[in-house]
Amino acid sequence: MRKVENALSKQGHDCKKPETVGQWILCHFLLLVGLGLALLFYVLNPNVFSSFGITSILSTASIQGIIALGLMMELTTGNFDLSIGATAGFSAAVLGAIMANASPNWYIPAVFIALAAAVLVGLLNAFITVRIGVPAFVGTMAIRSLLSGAISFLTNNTIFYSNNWGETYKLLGQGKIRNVIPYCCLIFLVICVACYIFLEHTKTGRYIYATGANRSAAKNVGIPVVRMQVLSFAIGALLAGIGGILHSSRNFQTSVQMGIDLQLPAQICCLLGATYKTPGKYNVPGCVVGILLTTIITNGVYGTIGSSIYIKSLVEGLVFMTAIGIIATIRQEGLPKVKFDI
Amino acid sequence: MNEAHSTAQNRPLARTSVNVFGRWWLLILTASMTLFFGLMQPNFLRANNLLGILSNACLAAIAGCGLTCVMATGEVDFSAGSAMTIAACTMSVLLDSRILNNYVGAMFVGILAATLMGAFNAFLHLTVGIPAFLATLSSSLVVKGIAYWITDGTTLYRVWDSDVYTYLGQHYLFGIFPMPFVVLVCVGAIILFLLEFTKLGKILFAIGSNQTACDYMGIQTKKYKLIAFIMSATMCGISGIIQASMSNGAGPNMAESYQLLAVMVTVMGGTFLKKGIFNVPGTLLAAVLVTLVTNGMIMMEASTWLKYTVEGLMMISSVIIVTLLRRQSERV
Repeated sequence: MRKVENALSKQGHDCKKPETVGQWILCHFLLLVGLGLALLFYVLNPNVFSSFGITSILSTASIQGIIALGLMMELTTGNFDLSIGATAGFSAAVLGAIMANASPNWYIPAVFIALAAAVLVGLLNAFITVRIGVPAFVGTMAIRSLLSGAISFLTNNTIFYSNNWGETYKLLGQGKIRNVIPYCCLIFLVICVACYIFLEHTKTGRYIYATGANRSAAKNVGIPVVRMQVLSFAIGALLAGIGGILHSSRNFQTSVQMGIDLQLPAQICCLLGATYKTPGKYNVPGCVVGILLTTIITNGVYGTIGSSIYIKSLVEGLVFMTAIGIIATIRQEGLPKVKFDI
Repeated sequence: MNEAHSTAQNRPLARTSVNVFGRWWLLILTASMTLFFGLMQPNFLRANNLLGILSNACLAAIAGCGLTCVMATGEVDFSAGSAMTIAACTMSVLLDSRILNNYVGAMFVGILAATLMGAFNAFLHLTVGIPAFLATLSSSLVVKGIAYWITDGTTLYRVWDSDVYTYLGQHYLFGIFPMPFVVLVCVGAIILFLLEFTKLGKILFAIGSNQTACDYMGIQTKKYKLIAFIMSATMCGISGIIQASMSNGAGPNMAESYQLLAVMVTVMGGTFLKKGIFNVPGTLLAAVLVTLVTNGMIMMEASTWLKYTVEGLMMISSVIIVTLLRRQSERV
């Protein structure tokens, strides 16, 4: 793969403007793999993507995609956040706890409070990572435990739901426009476009990419590295909060397990997405294609082989490993060396 | 990295207090927690409870010793739980289905399985080039899946003659020393010797300190990192066998908490005595502290959220202290 990358760059072509069919295939192979696998699963079991299933699958994919976009914002500045799923779960738990004790008129203020709680978590992560200097992945792993504790407290350590939640709670997660397009997908599309414009076409977005690419160089050039990282943590946590609220709205429950379950698909999707179009660099279209691929793989595998726990763990682990293996081999300098030394 | 340097350097009181308190807090905390739980719940200080805590602590301690080798090279290894699981499950499955009719043989095959996982981690990290924490995260998922597969998702109880199977976990040597403790002393002494008094240990710490300098000096960093990963996985395998022995059975989700626990114990150990460098005595003390706190909270019937929160607080404070200690020692 490295030779191909070299060849591409030597000829002066990067993946934004592939000229031959071969180069186009290499740049978009993630999408092609996804379509190919979808075809394969369909041939093996024509019922695997039935039309009822499609909207349900798309809703779940949208929610995972929103959280993945949040993780991607943090990855772009070079911080691997292991607590993004827990942030989503925490935000959902806060909303659930508030709505269990308030009338449904309080839904919108409660949503704001839940999102503010998520942003607070993001700022806490930023404080530990940027101000104190703890490596992001260890610090966020510790925060994940704290968040699990908070969620456990808010949900009484059960699968928490309340009859007081009412219909407004379900609206965003389970509602559809004209009974066809789920609200989740719409929200996901809006967030996608917003993130894409923010990252690719604004000055702050460029600064964020620069911070992730080479932090000391960026700092020396004068880019406010600290502010960019704090911003990325805050936006990432906000998106995770939105995803968590939608997820709990869709399943009409909040629990500690929800936070744990949301972490891995987001990671897989982001890392897969980094192999698409701009190899080695996290990007929004890559995230979208990544979430499609993850969804196709998981649903296809479960539909054909069955969804026991070990299949889930094995498949997710293998996909994860393949994704990072590919990035590590594609990128000229490999994945950034992340060590626990300060 | 330099943004936070104003914390300790310009304020002598802060510097001294981080220095003194930060390096001895483990011992202080262990002693005070023992007193605290002893006062709140007198049953805590009974001999068999304390021995039980010691036995449980040995699991985290042995895994932590192995992890200390890897973290000395600067990499984090999240595969402790999966290595423990795969060793225990392989051994139990072999014994249960009578493929192997020898306990010692099955034990060795189990430890071999864990070692293979360590070698695979090293392959992912050194050959493919994935950062170690990602590599071990992903491989731990795959190995967990394999463990579920070979045990069919169930826990295998009483697979073999109980006296032999539970020897390592529940027997008391000379009537007083729990066998896990004996294993810990042997294994811990070996690792301590290797890390502190041999060339291998010095090289591991050197790699952790500055890998590029080691490369330029001609040290084969890849070979030594491979050794570190294999040692870590083997230790975790031993720990897994002992855990299976203690519960007289093995299941695929027995050691899930150890993924974070082993890392936490090693990092907490790094705050003890030395300035932010991971060491074996600190790991052992941290293992005792964590097990003590967990057991004490169970005895006081604390709610689950409190357990999560305390675990998170211990982890975050130890990580912060290690970071501050190291930053300080860089200024010297």
